[in-house]
Amino acid sequence: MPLLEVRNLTKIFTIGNVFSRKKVIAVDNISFDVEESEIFTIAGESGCGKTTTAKIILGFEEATSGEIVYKGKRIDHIHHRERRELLKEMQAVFQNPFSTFNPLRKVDRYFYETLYNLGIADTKEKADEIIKEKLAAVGISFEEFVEKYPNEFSGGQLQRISIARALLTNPSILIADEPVSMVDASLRMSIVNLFKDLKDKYGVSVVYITHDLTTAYYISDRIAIMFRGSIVEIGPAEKVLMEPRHPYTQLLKESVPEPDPNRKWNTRINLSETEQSEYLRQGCKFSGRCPKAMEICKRESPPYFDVGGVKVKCFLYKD
Amino acid sequence: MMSVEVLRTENLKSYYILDIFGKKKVIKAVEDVSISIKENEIYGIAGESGCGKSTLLKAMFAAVEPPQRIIGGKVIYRDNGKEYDVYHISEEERKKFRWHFISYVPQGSMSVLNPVMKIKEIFKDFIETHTKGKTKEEIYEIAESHIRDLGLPSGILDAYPHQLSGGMRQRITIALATVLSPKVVIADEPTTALDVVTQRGVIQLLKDIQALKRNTIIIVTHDMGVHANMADRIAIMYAGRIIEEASTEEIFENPLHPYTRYLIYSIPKFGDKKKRESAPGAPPSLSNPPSGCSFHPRCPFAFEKCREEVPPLKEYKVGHKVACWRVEEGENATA
Ligand SMILES: Nc1ncnc2c1ncn2[C@@H]1O[C@H](COP(=O)(O)OP(=O)(O)O)[C@@H](O)[C@H]1O
Ligand SMILES: Nc1ncnc2c1ncn2[C@@H]1O[C@H](COP(=O)(O)OP(=O)(O)O)[C@@H](O)[C@H]1O
Ligand SMILES: [Mg+2]
Ligand SMILES: [Mg+2]
Repeated sequence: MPLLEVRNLTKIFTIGNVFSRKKVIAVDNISFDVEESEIFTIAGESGCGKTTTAKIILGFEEATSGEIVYKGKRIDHIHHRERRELLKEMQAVFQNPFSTFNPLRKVDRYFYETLYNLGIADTKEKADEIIKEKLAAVGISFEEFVEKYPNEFSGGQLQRISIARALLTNPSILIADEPVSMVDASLRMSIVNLFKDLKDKYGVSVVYITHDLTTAYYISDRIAIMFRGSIVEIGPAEKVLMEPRHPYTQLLKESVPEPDPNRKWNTRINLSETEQSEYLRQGCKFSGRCPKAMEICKRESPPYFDVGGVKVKCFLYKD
Repeated sequence: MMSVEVLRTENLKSYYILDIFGKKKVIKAVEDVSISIKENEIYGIAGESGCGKSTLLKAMFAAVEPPQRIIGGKVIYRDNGKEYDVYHISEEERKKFRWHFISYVPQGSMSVLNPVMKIKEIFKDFIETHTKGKTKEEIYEIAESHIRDLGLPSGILDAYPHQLSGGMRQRITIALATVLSPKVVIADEPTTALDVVTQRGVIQLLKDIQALKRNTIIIVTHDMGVHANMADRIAIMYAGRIIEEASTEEIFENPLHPYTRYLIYSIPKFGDKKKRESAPGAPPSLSNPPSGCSFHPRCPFAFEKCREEVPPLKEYKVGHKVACWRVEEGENATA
């Protein structure tokens, strides 16, 4: 049994006022599983529905339709109390660590609060012991951590601290939404390596949400590529990223600038002028820009085809 | 290749001087920077956020506003074989260089396009303010042919900024900054908030402009992948100083400063799962920088001298400069 299952998840936002309403299908019927002790990546460009998916899994947002199943039990529509219990097992790490903590409150206060409120520790000694252990896992010493305000840490340090905080409850799964995109390139790998360690040493599963395909390749076991609300390709990261099948995955991978001056781009690309038009497009949402688009792509939304263990939502792989 | 200099800085120092409840605080954002930029090259500046990149660009563009100040050194422009010491000419003269000789695409500028003006009006406003004696028709003609030259869809001139994607707005700010054919274009993190595919479009545009106008582009980004794709030469900045400078090939093939090595070797690549490590520790505060080499608290190779003296930026190989005592010692040992 998978640890987490997302089944046919759809989220429709209605935007505008009473006079002009528009619907945005932010997440369009997506399904995936996350196994125990697995790093599962959701990758795609901004606005493709990654954060909405994360928020629904965490219960911060309600789905329009679909199911979220954790350890065999449905968790979309559970009560507040059950949700609180569940949050011990499922923790979140967000993009901006500075928005996770109140700037006027010392960071260690959050740690003690979590431990006391959730009944994980009842004495200061016990709490300190747990905090030290979790800080050690992220490479921060207790001495440099206590009695400090958020702005006394660098972004990279504070992100590691927010991961330590997520670990206080011994979660089985972390939902990490763009955890390194605000961290400097020179410090990014210290955070990425941390997720890998958590998986290898403690068996924690991670849903790693990112627009950065190279860190995704570096740490993930499996990956889903999203485009305008749909998963267009899903499978083992090694296969999806080394031999991308979907023309969008191919474009995305090719557009990552490689840190190698001998491998500059020598082809040109076309860009969409607006994003809205793609969301509302009939058929395959990528067909407007796809170099391999066929007639059928403009009319029908493709189903998934299995290509060597990878599921691809593209008519090129019909038969 | 004989290359002609177009801009240089000499021991440039630019600080922010703040007054916080009567207490003076000095942020040493640019410290003793001497760089020479050539005609017709793409010069990349890399470094983590807060290391002084934008401050350096503002100083080079001569658009310094309090609390930023020029504390020392010079910025020299070279135009038609003549040199101008930018901070020793009148504001009147300085103005003549702006947008005609040197232009600047500030960080985040795509979000400051006036939302109630059509793109074509934004161009008209800009051209009118910075040139004299042109009719409305002539101005539209300049804007249109520029947009066409750059390969952007001419329909965008009739659009309002909010109707365009972020990537298109960024390309418009770049088009705007280059419409008066400046010799030097400064672009501060022009791709940072953009998705990779969109980013690629912006890089494509900058390269097209450089090929078309044969001008100089100074591009700042912390993304080494972008530098590898665009730059001819790269300077690495750390805590307000340039700590290494070389051709792009040389920087990637033979980085010498420990910080540069971390920057380059920590980037994961497709098809290679080798463990990548970030530089340990965190960047220093610029109001209270470490003694000696500012990287020494994070450097695994630091020794006594690194804690005491600032290493000079020195050329160890033709075109390859480094500021590192360890490189200096190694040189002395083999000499
Ligand atoms: N609360 C909301 N109301 C209306 N539209 C929203 C809301 N949240 C997200 N969206 C829209 O849904 C789409 C997906 O957004 P998001 O999940 O944030 O994408 P990502 O995290 O991949 O950037 C976007 O078009 C976005 O504008
Ligand atoms: N207007 C300002 N007032 C005070 N400090 C500033 C101002 N702008 C930048 N700084 C400080 O100067 C240093 C260098 O900033 P900046 O040049 O913007 O760095 P970068 O562009 O490399 O991220 C940082 O410590 C920053 O906080
Ligand atoms: Mg998001
Ligand atoms: Mg900057």
